[in-house]
Amino acid sequence: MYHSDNERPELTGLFYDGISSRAHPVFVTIVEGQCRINGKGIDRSIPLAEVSVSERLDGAHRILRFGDGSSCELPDSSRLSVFLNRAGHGESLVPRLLRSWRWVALSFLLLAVILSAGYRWGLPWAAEKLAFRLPVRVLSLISQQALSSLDGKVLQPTTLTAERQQQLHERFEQIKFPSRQPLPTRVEFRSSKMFGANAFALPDGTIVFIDKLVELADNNDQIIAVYAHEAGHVALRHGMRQIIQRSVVALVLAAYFGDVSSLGAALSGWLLEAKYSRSFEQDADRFAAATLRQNGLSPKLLSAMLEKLEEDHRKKAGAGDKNGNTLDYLSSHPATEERIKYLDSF
Amino acid sequence: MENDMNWYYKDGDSKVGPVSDEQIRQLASQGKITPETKVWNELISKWLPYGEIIGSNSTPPPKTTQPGLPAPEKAEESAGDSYADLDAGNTVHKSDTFDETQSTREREATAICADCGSETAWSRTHSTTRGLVCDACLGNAEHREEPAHSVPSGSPPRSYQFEFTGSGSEYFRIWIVNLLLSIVTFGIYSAWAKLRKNKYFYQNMRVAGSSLDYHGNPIAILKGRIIAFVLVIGLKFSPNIHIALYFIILGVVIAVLPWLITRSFAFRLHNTSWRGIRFRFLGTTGAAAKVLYVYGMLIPISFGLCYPLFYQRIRAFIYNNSAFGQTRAELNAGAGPVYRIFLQAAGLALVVPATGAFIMSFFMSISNSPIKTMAMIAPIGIFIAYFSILMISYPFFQARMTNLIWNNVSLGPARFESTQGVFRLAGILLGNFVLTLITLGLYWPWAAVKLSRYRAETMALMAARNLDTFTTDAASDMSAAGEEIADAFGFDVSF
Repeated sequence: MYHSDNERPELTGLFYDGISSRAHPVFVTIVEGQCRINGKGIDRSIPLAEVSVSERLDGAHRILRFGDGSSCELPDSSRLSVFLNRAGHGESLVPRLLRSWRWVALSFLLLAVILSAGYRWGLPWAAEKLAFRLPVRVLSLISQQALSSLDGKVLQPTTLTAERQQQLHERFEQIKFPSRQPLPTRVEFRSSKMFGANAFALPDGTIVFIDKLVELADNNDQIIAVYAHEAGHVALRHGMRQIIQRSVVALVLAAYFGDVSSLGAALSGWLLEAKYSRSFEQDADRFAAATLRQNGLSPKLLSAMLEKLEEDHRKKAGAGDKNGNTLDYLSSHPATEERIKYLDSF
Repeated sequence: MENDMNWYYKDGDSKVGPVSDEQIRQLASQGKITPETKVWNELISKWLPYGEIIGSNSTPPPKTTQPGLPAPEKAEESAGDSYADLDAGNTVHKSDTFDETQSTREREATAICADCGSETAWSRTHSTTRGLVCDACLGNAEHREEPAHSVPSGSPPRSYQFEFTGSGSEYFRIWIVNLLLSIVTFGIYSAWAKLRKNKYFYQNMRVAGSSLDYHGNPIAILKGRIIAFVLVIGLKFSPNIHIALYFIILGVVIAVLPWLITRSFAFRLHNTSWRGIRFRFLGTTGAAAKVLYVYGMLIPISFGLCYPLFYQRIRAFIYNNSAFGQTRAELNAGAGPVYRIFLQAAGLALVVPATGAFIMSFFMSISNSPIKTMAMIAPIGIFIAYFSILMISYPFFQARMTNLIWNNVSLGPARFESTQGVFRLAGILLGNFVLTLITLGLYWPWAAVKLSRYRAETMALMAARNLDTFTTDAASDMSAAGEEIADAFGFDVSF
């Protein structure tokens, strides 16, 4: 219904000379590749090629910038577009895509696909590649820094006798690992009030046993089973991969949620991380099963140990123990029935 | 149907809108909007009676031209004396609303007289220092005209309301495409994304009929982002590698902070313009270092009591070193009122937890197992305390501090008026927070636009006479060389 407006040969606008804030009302015409500015005391022609035109937005004025610092503000955005199109001065790709809901829907879909594929396959793949390329020196720097920050605070020197330690060290040294060449493992014993029956691996091959786990085991072979599992984390560089994946997920979430709420970012980061942990546990179980068999031991040793740990965990929780919420093996190694069933299948 | 406008109208004292052209005509035909009803749309700078906008004919769609712009039949004709003084905010519009039987060539622009407010044919208006006036008012106006540049103490300043014309759905499209391109380019595009975002928010912000503009160079933005990224990653991961490395990086960050902040403000202001004049930042790294280190050191020494002072000194450093062209800004708010707002906000932050503790002690006293009751109520209490700080204390601080700062900033002959309301701001923030959370962040663009619109609605520029008198030193500021230097050393570290 406003078609007649488009027939008017000129646009109204405000001209600024770039030196004073005075706004000069002007008429703007775009004819034969020239942008003509016409008003009281102003008559200029600028080749359209030398004019930079701001992108079209629904409610905003358009701004024409000329090379000498002067500019022109045009309220009628759509008519300017008509004139520019007529002059063969079309819009560039992105602003055109931005106005089409179909393209935006496609971008949204593409974004969802890229993000979920990146999370599902891309990031684990990249983290694995990177973790195996990192120099051992970096791994050991990170690990020793972590251990020394725990020592004296939540970890105390072991209460196991020197003979008991020596006996276990000798058993660990006899264990042969399957095909993949692991980092040399090094076992340390610690006692702890905060950790319950627990064991964990650091990226450089250090495996820390908490005394309570050693005391809980029925026999040395069960301890070997836990050792094989932790050696799996070391061999597969799970520690380093976890650090890389966690950092990238946190970074992407911060970029997305950053403006909104750090709470949301923290919550979803924790949820997304839990999945990575589970698949690492399964891989380490598989590594442990292969290791145990190669050394003439049964993979069922690990499932028996897991059941024992679960029983211990339940007992403590049921008794309303003051230390009921200690960080035991199960808080970091969820002993699902699935895992036990998997190990029992050997 | 391009140019479909958003209209607002006043129903009693409350603003209603936005409504479309179509809706406003329906409302008029239903009698809900009378010729006396004050209406407003993006193209006119002040509230006007509906009758004036549409002229004598009350049914066709109200079609206005741009503020202060004549739309006569021929350009040559208007090149005479009849240009509007734009700053007077005259509203010019076509007297004929569109009518199929009427030739477009016969249309004549009209203007609203700055004196009597009546509608006058464009060719019969006269440009004066007070704005565009009609024939009848020209005579009685003559003796009231003041010589240029002398601001009479008695004349009330004119108020120019800020307007924000962006929309959530439009920004959503920009945001999604920005996000996609940033991710597929591993963050490289994020510099261009920021440019597009800033242009959107600047170009949609308008005051006195002219919009702000943003000129940032994406390469400079990218440089800033790389610097910020390296520093953040360094600070985050160095403690895992070696604690000494962390302190080295921390030392470097603290040492370069004044320089980073100064360059960043210089970049942001230099790349902002209004009416073709750029803003500038004149603060030096030395002055920034003094504020950051001297007043920053006082905070731990005084157990935090000097924080409001530090806050005020930082604000003073920023505003007193900002300039629009050659006109320097000035902040006249001292530390006293800043302290008052900090204390009140801290008080509010304590009221709800204190009330909660009182209620809890009441329940504990009537319960026969007080410890169990406490264990039950405590988590709820902590949540309410956190939420109340977020939803009561923070909006209070934000609204009051914004008002305090802007109401005390002057820019040559101009001042600002900020009227943010604590409850309105709290409502907007709460709505934005809840909707953003339940839509997993997808509501965010609407939230950002809503906040910008409220900021614009509560902000006005007050000027004693007109806004034509700001100038820039063309040689030093606009030369290509000056810009190149600013770009070579300039970057924006803020995300």
